[in-house]
Amino acid sequence: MKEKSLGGVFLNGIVNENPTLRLVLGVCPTLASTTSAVNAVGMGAAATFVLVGSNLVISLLRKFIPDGVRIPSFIVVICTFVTIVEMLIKAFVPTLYESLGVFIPLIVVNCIILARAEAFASKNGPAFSFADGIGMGAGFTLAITVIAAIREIISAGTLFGFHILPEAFEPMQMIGMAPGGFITLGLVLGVANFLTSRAKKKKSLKGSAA
Amino acid sequence: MRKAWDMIWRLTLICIVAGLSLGVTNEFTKEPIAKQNMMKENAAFLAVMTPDAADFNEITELAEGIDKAVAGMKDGQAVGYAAQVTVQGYGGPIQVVTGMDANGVITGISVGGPDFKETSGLGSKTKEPEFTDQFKSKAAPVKLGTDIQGISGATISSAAVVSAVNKACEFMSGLLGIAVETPAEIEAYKAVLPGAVDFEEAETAEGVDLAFAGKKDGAAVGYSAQVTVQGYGGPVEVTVGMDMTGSITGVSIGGPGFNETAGLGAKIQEPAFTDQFKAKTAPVALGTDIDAITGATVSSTAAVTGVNTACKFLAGLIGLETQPEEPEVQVEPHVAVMTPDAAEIEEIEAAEGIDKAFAGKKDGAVVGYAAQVTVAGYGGPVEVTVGIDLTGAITGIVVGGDQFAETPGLGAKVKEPGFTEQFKTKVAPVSLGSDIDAVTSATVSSTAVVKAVNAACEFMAGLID
Amino acid sequence: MNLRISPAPHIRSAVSTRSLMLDVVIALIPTTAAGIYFFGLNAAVTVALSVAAAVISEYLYQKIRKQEPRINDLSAVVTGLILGLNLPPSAPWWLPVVGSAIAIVIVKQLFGGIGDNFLNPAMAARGILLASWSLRMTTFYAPTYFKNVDAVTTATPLSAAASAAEATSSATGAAPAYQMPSLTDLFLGNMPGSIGEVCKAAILLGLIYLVIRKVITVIPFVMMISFALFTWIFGGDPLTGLLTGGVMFGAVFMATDYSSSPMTIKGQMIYAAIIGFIIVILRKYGSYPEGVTYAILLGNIAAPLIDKYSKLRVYGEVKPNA
Repeated sequence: MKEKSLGGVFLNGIVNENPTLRLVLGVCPTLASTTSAVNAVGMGAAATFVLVGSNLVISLLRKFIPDGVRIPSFIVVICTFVTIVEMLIKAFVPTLYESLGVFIPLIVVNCIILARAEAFASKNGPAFSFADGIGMGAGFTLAITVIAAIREIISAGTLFGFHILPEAFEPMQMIGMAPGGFITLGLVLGVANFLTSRAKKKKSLKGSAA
Repeated sequence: MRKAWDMIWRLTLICIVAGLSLGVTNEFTKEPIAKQNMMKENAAFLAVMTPDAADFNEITELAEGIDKAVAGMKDGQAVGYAAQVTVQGYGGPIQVVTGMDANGVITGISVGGPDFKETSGLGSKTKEPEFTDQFKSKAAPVKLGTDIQGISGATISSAAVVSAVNKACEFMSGLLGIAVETPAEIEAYKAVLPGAVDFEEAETAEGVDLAFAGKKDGAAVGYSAQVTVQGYGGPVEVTVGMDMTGSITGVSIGGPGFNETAGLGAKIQEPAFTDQFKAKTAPVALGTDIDAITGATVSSTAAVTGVNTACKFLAGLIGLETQPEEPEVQVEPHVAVMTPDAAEIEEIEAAEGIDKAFAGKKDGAVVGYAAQVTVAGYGGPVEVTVGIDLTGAITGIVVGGDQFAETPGLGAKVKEPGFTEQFKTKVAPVSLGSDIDAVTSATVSSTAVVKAVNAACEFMAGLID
Repeated sequence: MNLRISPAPHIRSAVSTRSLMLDVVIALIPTTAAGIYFFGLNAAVTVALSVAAAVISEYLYQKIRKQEPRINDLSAVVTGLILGLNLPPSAPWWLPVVGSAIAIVIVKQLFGGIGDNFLNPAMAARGILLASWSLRMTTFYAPTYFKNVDAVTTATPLSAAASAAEATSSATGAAPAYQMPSLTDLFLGNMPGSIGEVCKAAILLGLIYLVIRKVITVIPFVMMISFALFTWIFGGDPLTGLLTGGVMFGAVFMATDYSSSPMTIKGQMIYAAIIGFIIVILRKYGSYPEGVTYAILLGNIAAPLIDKYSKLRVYGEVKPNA
C-alpha cells in the first residue's frame, strides 16, 4: 500500500479526489454560492473552517467515540462548528451573512464534511486528518470559485465585483439563476472529466512505454 | 447494557463540551450581532433621512400600510421623517423606505426588503441609484411616466415602488400638516377653470365663500365658486369650475382645516376622485355619476354635496336654468312605467301596503295599471313603482324615493336601467336568480326591489280580474 | 464498400434525413419570405445569421470531437432557420448566433446528436434566450414592409391585450379595452411579433406542402384542435387565439421535431392534445402573454412517458394477462 504523506493527502483533496469535480459532493451549496466569486470564496472559507475543525476533533476523538453512535457524534461536532462559524460571520462579516443566508447553516448537510469524517478522519491520525480537511476544503473552494467566476462574468459582467467586460456586453441573466447553475456545473464537470481521462491515457501510455 | 451505558455517557460528554463551546462563542459574538441588526434596520432609514437630523425618534402612531416610521430630530424639532411601506411587486413584497424633509420634499428612497424577489436585471433595478435618485427633491405625489421614469420592461415593479413612495409621503405629509397637494400651486379657483386667463371676483351668495368669473380675451369662459361643507374630520373646501354650457370643468378639494382620514377620506383630494366630475352636469349623484372612495362614504358624500351646491350657484350666475333635484325622474314614476298605449292616467283606490295606484286609459278603456310600493332596503326605505299591461306583463319599473339610502355603487345600482330593464315584459311573480339577476354584492337591495315588484303586481293582477 | 447491417423488415425508402430536412426547409420558405417582407432587412439578417451560426457550430463541434461532419443532412439548417424565425426582428446580431450555438452544441450534440435530443433544440434555445435576455426577446415592432425605417417598438396583440386587461381590472373601468387587429390582419400577418409567427397564411402553405410530401404527422392538427377546444371551454375566442402568437408556427414546425416527440400515432395525439391544453392554461393564468414555448418544452419532457404507455407491441410479444 502506498505510503501516505501529508503533502500527498493535501494534494489529493485538490486534484485526484476534488470533492466538487471528482466526488461530486456538496452540489447544493455549489449551485447556491456560485452566483458570484465573492460568495464562493466566502462559502469555501466557511466550509473549510468547519471541515478542518470537525476532521481534527473527530480524529482526536476517534478512539473515544463508540462505533454504534459515531454518526450522531459526528453530527454534533459538525453542527457545533457550523453554529460557531455562523455566529462569527453574522457578527463580523454581515455582508457575507446577507448573501450566503440560509446556506451557512446548510453547511451541516454539506456531504463533503460528513463523508470525510466517516471515510477519513475517523480512521486516521490528527495530522493527516488536518491535511485532508485543508486539502478538501481548498479543493472545494478552488472548484466553486472557478465555477462562480464563470457564472459571474457571464451573468453580470463582473468578477469579484469589478466590471471586467465592456459596457456593450449584455449579461446572460439565466446563468445567474438555477438552470444556469446546473448547466455551468455540468459543463465544468465535463471539462474536468475530459482532462482526467486524457491524463489517465497519457499515464497509461507512459507506463506501458516504460 | 454495559455497551449502551458506554455509548450514553460518551455521547453526553461530547454534547456537554459542544454546548459549552457554543455558549462561549455566543457571549463573544452577542453584542456585535445585536449592533448589526439595529444598524441594518436603521441603515435604510439613515440613508433616506434628511442629513440635518441628528437623532431619531420612533413614531408610534402609524397609519394603515405603514410598517415603521421615524422622525429625524434636531434641537428638539422634527426636521424630517422617514417611513417604510411594503407593497406587492412583481415577484414578491418590496419594502420601500421614503425620507421627507420638513417642507414635504422627498430626500431619498431605499428599495429592498428581506423577501425582495423582483426579476434580476429588470425589476431588481428599482434598487439601483439610477432609479431611486429620481425621487430626490420631488414633491409627492409623484407620477410614473411624468415625474419618474419607469424601468423599461419592469412596469409592475416600478409602479409598485412609486405607489409605496406616494403612500409613505401621504402619511408623512399628514404628520407635517401639509395637505397632500396636487402639484399645482395655483389657487384652487384658477385651477378649476383651465380655459381662463384673467379672473374677476364675482358676487357671492349665502353659503358660497368665493366666486370668480374666468375670462379670456375679454369674454367670460366660465365661473368658479368655493363652498365649505362638513366632512368626516372637519371642514372641507370644495371649489368648482363651470363653463358657459353648464358643464363642470374642474373640482378642487382642500382647505386649511382639511382633516379627512389619510388614506381614506383624504383621497377625495386626489385626481382619481376629482377628475370624475369633469365634463359632467350638475347635479351629480354619488354611486351613478361619481364613484365614492371605498371606506370613505362620508367624505365622498360631502364632496358631492359641495359640488352640487356650488354648481347650483354657478348655474344661476351663468344664467342657466337649474335642473330639478332628481334628474332621473323628469317624469313622475307612475307615468314612466305605464304602458305606452295609455293616453290618460287617473289615480285609483290603493290597498293595504300599496302607497298609490293608477289606471291608464285609452278611449275610456283601461289599458294598464301602475302601483307604488315601499319596502325596507339595506340602508332605508325604497319606493318601487311598477307598471303592468292587461296581459299581466310588466311594462316598466322605477326605483327611488326621497329617502333612498342604498349603498352608492352597490345597492344604489337597483335604480339603474341595467337592473330595472330586466323586469320589462316579465310576468309576476319574478324570482331573483332565475328571472332577475341581482346586483353583485347588493343582495338585500335587489331582494327588496323584487319583493316590492311582486307585491305591486299581485295587487294589480287583482285589479285586472 | 460501405455495407450496412440492419434487422428485418428490409424496406427501401427514398426518405433519408436529408430529404426530410429539405422538405422542412422548403415548407419554411413562404414563412421566411413573409417575415422578410413584413420586417425588412433586420429579419433577413437575423435569420441568415441564425442558420450560418447553426451550421458552423455543428461543423466545428464535430471536428473538435473527431466525428464525421454531418452538416449535409441539413438538420442544423432547419434548427437555425426555426430559431431565427422565432426571434423578434429587432434582435441584435449576437442573439441568433449565441442562440444557434446553444441549440446545436448544448441541446443537440451534447445529448447525443441528431435523433437523440430530448428537447427540440430550437425551442429549448429560445427558452434559454428568453430567460437570459428577456428584454431583447420581448421587444417587437410593427411591420415596416421592407422599408427598414426606424421602427417604434410596440407590443404584440397578445401582450397588449394582457396588459389592457390588467389595467382595466385595477382602474375603475376607465381604461379602454384593447382593440385586437382585424382577423384579416391577424391571418396575413399585419401585426408585430416574431419574424416567422405572424403570417399564418404562409404557415398554412408550408403545412400543405408537408402534407403533400407525407412528411407531417398528426401533431399539428391535433394540437390546433385541442388548443381551439380548450380556448373555447375557458371562454376565449378560438379563432382569434389561433391567429395570435406562435400557436400555428409552433404546431406545424416546432412540436413536430421527430426526436423529441412520441413515436406512435396514439402517443403523438396525446402529446399534441396536452400541449394545446397547456398553452391555454399558460395564456390564461400565467404571467407570460405567450405560452407556446414552455408548453412544447413540457410536451417534449413528457414524451418518453407518453411513449411508455402507448407502446406498440413487438411482433410475437404476449401481454402478461392475455
